Amino acid sequence: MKIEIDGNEVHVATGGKPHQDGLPFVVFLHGAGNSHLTWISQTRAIAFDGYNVIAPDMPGHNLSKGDPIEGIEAQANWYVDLLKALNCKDAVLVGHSQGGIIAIEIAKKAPELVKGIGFVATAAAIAVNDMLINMAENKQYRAISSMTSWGLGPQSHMHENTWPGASNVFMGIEVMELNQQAALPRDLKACAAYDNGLETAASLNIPTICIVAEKDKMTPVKLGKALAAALPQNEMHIIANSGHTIPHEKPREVNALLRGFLKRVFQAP
Amino acid sequence: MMLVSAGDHIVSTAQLYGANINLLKNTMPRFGVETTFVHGRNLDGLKAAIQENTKFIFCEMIGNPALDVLDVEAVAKIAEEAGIPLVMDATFCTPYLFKPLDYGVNVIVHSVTKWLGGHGTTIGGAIIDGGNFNWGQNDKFPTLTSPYYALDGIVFWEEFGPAALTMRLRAEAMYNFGPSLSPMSAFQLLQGIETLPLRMQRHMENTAKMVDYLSNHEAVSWVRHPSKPDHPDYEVAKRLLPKGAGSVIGFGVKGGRAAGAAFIENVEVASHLANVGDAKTLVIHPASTTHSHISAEDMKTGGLSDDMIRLSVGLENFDDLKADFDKALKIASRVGGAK
Repeated sequence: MKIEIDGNEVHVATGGKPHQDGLPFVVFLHGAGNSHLTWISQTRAIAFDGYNVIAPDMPGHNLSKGDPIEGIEAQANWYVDLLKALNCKDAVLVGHSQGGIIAIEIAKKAPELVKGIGFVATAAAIAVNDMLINMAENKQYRAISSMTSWGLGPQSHMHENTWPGASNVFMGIEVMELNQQAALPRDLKACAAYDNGLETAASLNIPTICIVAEKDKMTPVKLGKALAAALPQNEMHIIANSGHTIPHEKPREVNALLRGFLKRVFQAP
Repeated sequence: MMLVSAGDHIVSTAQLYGANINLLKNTMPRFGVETTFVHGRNLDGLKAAIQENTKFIFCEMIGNPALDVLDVEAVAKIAEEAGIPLVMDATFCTPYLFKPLDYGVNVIVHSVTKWLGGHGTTIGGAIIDGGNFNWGQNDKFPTLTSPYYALDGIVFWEEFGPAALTMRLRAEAMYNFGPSLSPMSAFQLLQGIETLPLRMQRHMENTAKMVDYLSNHEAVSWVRHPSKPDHPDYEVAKRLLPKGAGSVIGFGVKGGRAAGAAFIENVEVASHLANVGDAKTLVIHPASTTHSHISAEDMKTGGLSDDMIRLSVGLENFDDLKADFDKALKIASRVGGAK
């Protein structure tokens, strides 16, 4: 669906189902330089389970118009405005990578909107090498292809992909290429500058799940464990033989864990 | 067919396989889709042929059987500027000789029956969606950017982004038109692909020897292959196809049609067959077979002559091929001479 926030058209994927009154909300937040396409293998599955799915493209990302937003706090404010505009409350947020730290900030700013959080391949702080930011600004294709390469585990590099005949490597590159030029460097700078994640995470007394990828080079297992240890009501799962891009690489495992978590949070039968 | 609907238009290079010409020229118009054919070297003409309702440019990297080589980067630029994808049949070069996606091609089709399968045992085709075309940049592609009647009104471009065409192909083309391989066929083709680089190396070695042999044979009137300096696309082929310009050669036998027929009927190691890309060497006379249903005018546009023999060079020991051709050409020149 399309909705206008701050005067710009925003694309919100709903998993192929329009929202219905009374259904619980699940919000999917994409990571740096990505878009709602991170969640191709999740949104439809979860929507057809009976949830109202919200998977937006942040401004300047894929199908959303407007300038990419600078800073995690401002990005969280934008999400709060969006969720309110969609009459969404008591939602479970599911954040991948940068989307995870945005989710922490949303829960801090607007606790009434958030009933639980799923952290997928993320950490409380995401350090970014200056050289990568420089590449994203000046040689973006190299930054994108490097991030896609680091972000995928060995199976994807051997083209053992979840979708028969599809390549996670090439798909990953093309998805990132759809964004505005300014989106990736701003996202990376926002991650690099964000440093109060652990403290905020410790204050979130809501159910959470951390889904960590065993072969994640971008937010390694030890960072996922540190976030999990800080969260008061957390359950943690390590998915074997996957890189950072677990929503694409291990959709069955991710979806099974999310489905169980959503049932527990919403106390669905 | 996933990209066009009634009232749409295609621009195609003119140097195509006969069945491709037939599909575009005779079958598709019955469904309201017209095609303008322009020579692949006529870049201005290709550009000028694009209309408001043109949905893609279609081309063959190495035209079958006239063996024109496309300056693909120039054509890709024309397509990109027009906001339409470039669709390429890359059967004749295979991914071993040429990687179209690196040169701006958006969608590739292959007859997998040929070099990829490699043994002429199994019929199959493949569509490779490069995922490198923005289907949402204009309103030309409603099959991908507006709701599809099935799957709860799915909008492929919104839901799958770069994989939109692939998913539409799976949801509609495979479902409604039924181009599904049997498991055994898929197995045979996949097994063929495992040895593609080894076979292509040998195909190209034998082709180089064959071009040299035929060019120096007194019974042969002309030889056409993009590796020959007198080929109009020699420079393009050298630049884009450094590993070789395919293993199909066109040549004429002195003495015209009768001599050509005598040659084809008297080869024994080579087979008289309407296929290309087999492990075996294959010969055919396009004017009386594969292109017999194409008009004389289209034959000329496609760069074909009445005396042309199309040779698909196989993997045999070259000495055996040479002995076979020596004998058949000797008989052919007697027939041609007597005539």
